[in-house]
Amino acid sequence: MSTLIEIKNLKVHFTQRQSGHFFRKKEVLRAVDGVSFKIERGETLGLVGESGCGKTTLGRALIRLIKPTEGQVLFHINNSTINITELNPKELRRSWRNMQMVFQDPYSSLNPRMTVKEIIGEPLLVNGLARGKELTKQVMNIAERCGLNVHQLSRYPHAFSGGQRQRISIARALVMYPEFIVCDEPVSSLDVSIQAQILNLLTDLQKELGLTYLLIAHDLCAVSYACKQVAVMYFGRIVEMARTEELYYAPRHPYTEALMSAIPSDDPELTMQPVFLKGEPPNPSNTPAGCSFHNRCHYADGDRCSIERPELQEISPGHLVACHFAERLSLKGAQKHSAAAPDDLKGNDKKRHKIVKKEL
Amino acid sequence: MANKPLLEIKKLNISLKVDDSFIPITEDVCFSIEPGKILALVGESGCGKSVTAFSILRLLPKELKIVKGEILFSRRNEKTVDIAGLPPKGKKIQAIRGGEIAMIFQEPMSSFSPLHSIGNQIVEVIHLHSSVSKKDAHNTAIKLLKKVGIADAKQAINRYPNAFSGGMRQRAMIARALSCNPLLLIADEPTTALDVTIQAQVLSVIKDLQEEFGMAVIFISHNIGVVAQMADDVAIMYMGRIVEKGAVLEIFKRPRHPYTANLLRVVPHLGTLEERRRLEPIKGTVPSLFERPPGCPFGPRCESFMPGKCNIIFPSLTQIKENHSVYCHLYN
Repeated sequence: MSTLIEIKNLKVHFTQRQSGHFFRKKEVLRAVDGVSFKIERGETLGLVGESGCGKTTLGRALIRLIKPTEGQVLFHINNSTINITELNPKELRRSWRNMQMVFQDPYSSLNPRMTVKEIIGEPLLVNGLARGKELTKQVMNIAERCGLNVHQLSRYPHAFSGGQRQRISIARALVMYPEFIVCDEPVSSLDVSIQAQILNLLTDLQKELGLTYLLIAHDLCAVSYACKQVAVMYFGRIVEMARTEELYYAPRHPYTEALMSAIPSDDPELTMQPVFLKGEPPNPSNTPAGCSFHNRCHYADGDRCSIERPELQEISPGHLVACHFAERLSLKGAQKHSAAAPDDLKGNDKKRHKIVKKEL
Repeated sequence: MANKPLLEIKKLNISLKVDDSFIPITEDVCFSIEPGKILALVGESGCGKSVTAFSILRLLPKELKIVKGEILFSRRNEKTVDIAGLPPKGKKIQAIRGGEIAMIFQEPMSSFSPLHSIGNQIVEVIHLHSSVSKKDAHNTAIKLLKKVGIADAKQAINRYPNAFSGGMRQRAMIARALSCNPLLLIADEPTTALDVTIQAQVLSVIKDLQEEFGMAVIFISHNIGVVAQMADDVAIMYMGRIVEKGAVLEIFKRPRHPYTANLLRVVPHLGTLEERRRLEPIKGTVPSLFERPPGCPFGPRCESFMPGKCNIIFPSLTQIKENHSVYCHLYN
């Protein structure tokens, strides 16, 4: 496994001026506040966290749709290393051939005045990679792979459903065959039965084309389905990162515990026992000293936690946590099922319900 | 046998008036709920669950008409009234709305006035349905905010909705809904827009208060996990029809309708992580309301489709068990 992307101490700070005051105070909004991790080639890393934790900002900063304030994003490709954060505009545009993004809203992310063919073909045109018949051929190729009807490519986005529009977004992101794609909440606006279609499409394409993904989502169940590794973000920092099963069922950070224990189990016989957090999420312009989570944490000691900021450390192979007490804590995870999957409808169902009737 | 139902929906048909024609939105919807129970209405967008819920309080826009059917509600004075037959702006329905049946919505911001304080808006509801003094209403509002877990209720009462976070607004909305001790609460996707930890808190508040006040709840959701945790009974809807209904444990463990079985298998949930299985999507997509398939609307997407039956007539009710019934030709 080789590392495709290495993020080192990435920070994205937004400075806001308080207007209307005699002395203009500067408020710094620390959206991403020192994030470091690696993504291996061919992998899908899930990034979860609640509203305002900075995950979307991180996704955009990674491919420099937003300029990071500090830190490095290293892209290891073609036997060389590019530092995305230090590229000039021309170099950056070139590097975007290898890094793309799929956005959350399939309605606002497609230009309503361009046909689907024009939308998918635009990256090729703009980068001088293809024109005319060759462009049409490549567009039709990728559109078909994404499950779109090639005879409908001359239509406009409004003629398509949400799920189909997301397929158009994915086709557009793939047309230049990039190495890396940031998927920012790709299925959250879609109906539940369509989510599976799109998640399956992303997974299949990954295998076929050797893609690497960062999947940003707040739906913990969708993430557990599509990702083998997941990172949890709280307030601009990664607090835990591990293999999916380990993270979900045996978390080592108190915030992860709160998240996982809050997932409602779809087994009616298992009652939820969520660990409720104290207080409210802190003000992003006013980061607490020490661990940014300590004022909501049941395990904080009131001393070290409010002074010293914990660093992300490997607590067991492949499992990273940022918590002073990670070694000592024994935390709750998501609930495991007690029973098998629901019955399929098969021929012997009618017999089964007769048997049940007898028992009654 | 069960208690007398609190609410009984009988063959409810709601249609959308488009120019001179009527497009069916719900067809022959039948279900009932007993006092103190939680019933979930489950289905994807366009299945008619929200339209059904809004019709109970006659909150539908004028283009959506109740063409046929009854909404029988057993009032606090023990008299039964057909809500579908009441004048939509009359005194009776206004007394029921908020006073006996309350509703909470997905987007709390759109149901609160930004120009009035939270306390003001709760007190308004209390005054609409009772004649207590201003002071008593004010104190009741503070007590309710405390009950839903809003710390610092005495200060919170004077704040405006935009000063609250999403989860707090949702709780304030619950407080307002409960201010007159309703018999039935309709919750239309109340936690869909919330983060998972906030969702857990709000669900816990709803469940605690439901037990304390003894009210019935109709809970609309497409989240299988939330339904499994909250509901006693569930009704699955597809294209305006109920396709299966019954006790949630029974339906989730032994689904009978192909759509129900498919839905339970296709939605990403924790179980798939453990079972390591691939989600098999339901083939096709929900047809447009203008192109409703004849007979059973799920037919074209159904693996057990029987031509000559499923595309001719919608199946009648089959009672599988005491609390499990299904509308499917496989069981006729």
